[in-house]
Amino acid sequence: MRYYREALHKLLRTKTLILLFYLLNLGSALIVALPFRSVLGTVAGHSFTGGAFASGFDAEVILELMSRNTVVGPVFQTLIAFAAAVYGIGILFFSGGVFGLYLRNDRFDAGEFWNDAGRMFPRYLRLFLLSLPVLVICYCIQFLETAFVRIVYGPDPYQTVLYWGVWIRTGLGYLGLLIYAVIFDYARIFAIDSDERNMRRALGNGIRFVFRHFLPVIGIALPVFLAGLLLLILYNLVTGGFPSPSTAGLIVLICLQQAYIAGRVKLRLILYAVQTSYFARKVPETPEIDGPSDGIIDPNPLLTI
Amino acid sequence: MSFRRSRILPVICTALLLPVTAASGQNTIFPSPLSPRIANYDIDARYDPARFTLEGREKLRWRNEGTDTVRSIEMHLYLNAFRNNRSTFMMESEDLPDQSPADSARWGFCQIRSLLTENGEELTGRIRYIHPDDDNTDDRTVIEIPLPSPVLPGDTLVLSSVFTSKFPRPPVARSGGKAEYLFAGQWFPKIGVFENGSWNCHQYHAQSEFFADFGVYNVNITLPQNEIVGATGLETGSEQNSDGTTTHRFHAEDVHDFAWTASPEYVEFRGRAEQVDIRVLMQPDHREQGPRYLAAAATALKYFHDWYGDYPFPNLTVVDPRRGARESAGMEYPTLFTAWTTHGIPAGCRIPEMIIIHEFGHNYWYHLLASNEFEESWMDEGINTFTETQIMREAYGQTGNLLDLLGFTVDDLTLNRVEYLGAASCDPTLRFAWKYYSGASYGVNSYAKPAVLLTTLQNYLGTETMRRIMRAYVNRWKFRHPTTKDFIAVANEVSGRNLNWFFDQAIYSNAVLDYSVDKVTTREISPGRGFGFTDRLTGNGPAADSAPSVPDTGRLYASEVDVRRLGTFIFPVTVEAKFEDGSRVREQWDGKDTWTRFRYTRRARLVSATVDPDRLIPLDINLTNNSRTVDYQTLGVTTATLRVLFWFQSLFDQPEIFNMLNVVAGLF
Repeated sequence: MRYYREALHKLLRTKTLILLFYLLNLGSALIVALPFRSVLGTVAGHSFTGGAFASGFDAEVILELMSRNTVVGPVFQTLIAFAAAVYGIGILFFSGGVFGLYLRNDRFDAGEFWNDAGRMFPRYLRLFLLSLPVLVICYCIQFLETAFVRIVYGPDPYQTVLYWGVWIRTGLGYLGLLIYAVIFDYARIFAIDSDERNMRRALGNGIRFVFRHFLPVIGIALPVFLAGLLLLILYNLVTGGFPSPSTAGLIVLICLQQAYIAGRVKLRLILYAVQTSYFARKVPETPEIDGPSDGIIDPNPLLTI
Repeated sequence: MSFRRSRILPVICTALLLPVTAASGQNTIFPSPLSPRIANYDIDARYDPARFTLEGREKLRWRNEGTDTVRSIEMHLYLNAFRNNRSTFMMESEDLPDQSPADSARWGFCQIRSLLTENGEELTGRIRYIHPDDDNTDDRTVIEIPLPSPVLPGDTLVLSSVFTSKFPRPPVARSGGKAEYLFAGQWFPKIGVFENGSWNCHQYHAQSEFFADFGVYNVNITLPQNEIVGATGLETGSEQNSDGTTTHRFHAEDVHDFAWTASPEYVEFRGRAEQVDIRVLMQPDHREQGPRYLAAAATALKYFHDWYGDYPFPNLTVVDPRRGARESAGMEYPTLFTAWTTHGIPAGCRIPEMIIIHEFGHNYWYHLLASNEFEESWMDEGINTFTETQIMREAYGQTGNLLDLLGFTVDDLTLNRVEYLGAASCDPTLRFAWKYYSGASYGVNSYAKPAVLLTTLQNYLGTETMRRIMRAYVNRWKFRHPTTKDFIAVANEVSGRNLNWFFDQAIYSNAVLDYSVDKVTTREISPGRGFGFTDRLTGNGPAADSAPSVPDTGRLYASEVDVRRLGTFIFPVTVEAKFEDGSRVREQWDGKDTWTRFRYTRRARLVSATVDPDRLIPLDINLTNNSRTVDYQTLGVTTATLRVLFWFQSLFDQPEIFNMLNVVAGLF
């Protein structure tokens, strides 16, 4: 709870970050949404098909639009992939500035933020590429279930086994993704904290840190992930079947949607803040060296813990 | 497999001359025959579950109902379609997994080892494999046997055969086994249909089903005692044998096929509806869905009974195929059919119900109305899909009757329509099954398109008229072999209209129906100018004491609606014009010309125009051009865009949501 209190305090001192991340999210999604609007307007803008979208999605019309406009599909797939890449790269870029701010426990300072972001971005990009095998391994944790079923039940298990296995595998998949996410986060924190240029070392430090403090690390991140799920459920409860056949209804819908997104952005920043707080308490600061240096600086502060 | 002819053959011949025990002492189901009973079978079968093989003895009694003398017969050996990868079935199959040549378990066959006439004349050596549909000499699914004596009109031919059948593992195209489970369809030598002076006996194609004459079946199936057996007809008795097997006796009357299944793991559920005993054989990992199966079967019985006439048989068996044996799922046989489900399927996903209603429907459209599935597949699958969509809507709602999960709804007819859009113009609806452009075209023209065109016809004629047509079709043609022409004749007669214009386009051609509102315009007419009609005019203009008196009618709008026929299918349509003051005008257009224009002069602006405003023509291939609005639909397009924007905002931030696809993939 201490860490969450600190995180909230940090978040309040750096509210500009919420806007930055929100705009990044919005901008990425607009890369897809604006062309979609254009295509939809052309195809259905002057018909009741288009008008019907005000009340909801008619499955028949959607399926017909998709089957009739097959050329559009591949184009949108490319757009979506591009937009996702833009968002991912943007997050990576901003995270340097965010971690720097939170480690220093400073108010938002544009100069320092962009400086850290720009300085760390190439390293974080390298770190991401280096971490891909870790992602694969973490994601494959779910196949432990598959192996278990195969060993215990053989190649032809009853569907009851497969059914529950699917849920277990899905849960393990989420756990694997969570583990990777925190490894990547702490690797980045390590990298900026020690101004590390060797990303293999940063990754190694991240992995070691996570597994040395596995329960607290997961325990810190899990509530944030669960809060995200709860937020999604809450959003669907409020807006499920929400008809917006009027301009006023449309405005309310926009407000609800963007409030949800803003909430998600805050959750992400809270997670970063909590992680940096926990890290700061667990990893002592590298002591400053006065006078001539013999050039020896402990490259791996973790080993001294 | 080989055997030593010199020693075994006389034994077989002797055995064949002994009466097949199946024929003796059978019960009678119907006091008098419901069908011509042309092809009658007595079969003794001994099944070996360890090797998935069956040794059978068959006595076929075939009556020459025609006016021609028959000098040879043709028979189906359907299981030979899976004998090797050179059969017509395998060569035509687009998506079968590679069969491992070394794995003999994957293959199947039906082999006649001995064939004798009633007088003991040996016919085995006369068997000749033929290929009436193509030039594939490696296809062994049809045999021809020249007869030593012709069969005169009215005479009965009696043939006794010894055969071996092997079932592929896992099932391929409806038949086969896996582990402890077997589904046996098309497993015995089956005589073709002699009609119009020749044999109708097609090869087994990748895209075809079956055609046979009605008859009486007496079948004894011997297999291990722990097996639970389900079959066509009624089980009239069983006896336990000293070798640890049980012989189950089945009797079926007025059927044109016999299928059966066995597994020691079946869980039985029993029910009754519309005076029919329902027996459901569930897999143990689906047992919680037994009541669901019973309920769906009861629903099907109820609606068919109410709408189309009584189901004449006393019983019905519903089989739930084993996991890993999906190829045997969703298939129909007289008084027995297979369904499909998976453990954990939610109640809002009514695929099991849809399959049960569909497969039960085949007991009408394939069994009672025994059309030729090789040559007119739409008459069975298409009419059945139409009735399936009707019942789904009636029983489970007009929308979301197939899927109603987390606010996402799919209607069965809608899904069929979307499938139809995928191959709407490849082929005419009516075509020999193996001659469609592709498997997709076969599927569309056999299932989806007939459902859509019959729904269109129903909307045109009215539901009650359509039901009267279907009832008359059942009553007039049950236990016979109707053709497309017969169905059209009934439709014309019962409706009191000549519907040939519809069927010529819908069934016999690949014409596509597409009407669109191409343009809508509305403009204000200027206030009255010019000379009025009562003005006194001189050669120099109006008289001095007169003034132009074109009446000032107030604000008027001249509006036009252009409607076009974009497809080649001609169909009468309704066009509705809507005005700003809320008034609406409906016009009827015969749809024959390539376009038409409606003009209006009114005090209100035209707002929109719609062709087929009540969506009565699902055959229309493009709904998005059916309406046109004068004003751009900003609200709708913007709302849709905002929803899409939000989805992508969420997905980019929570890409791990895709992990939930595991659940969908795992369930299905």
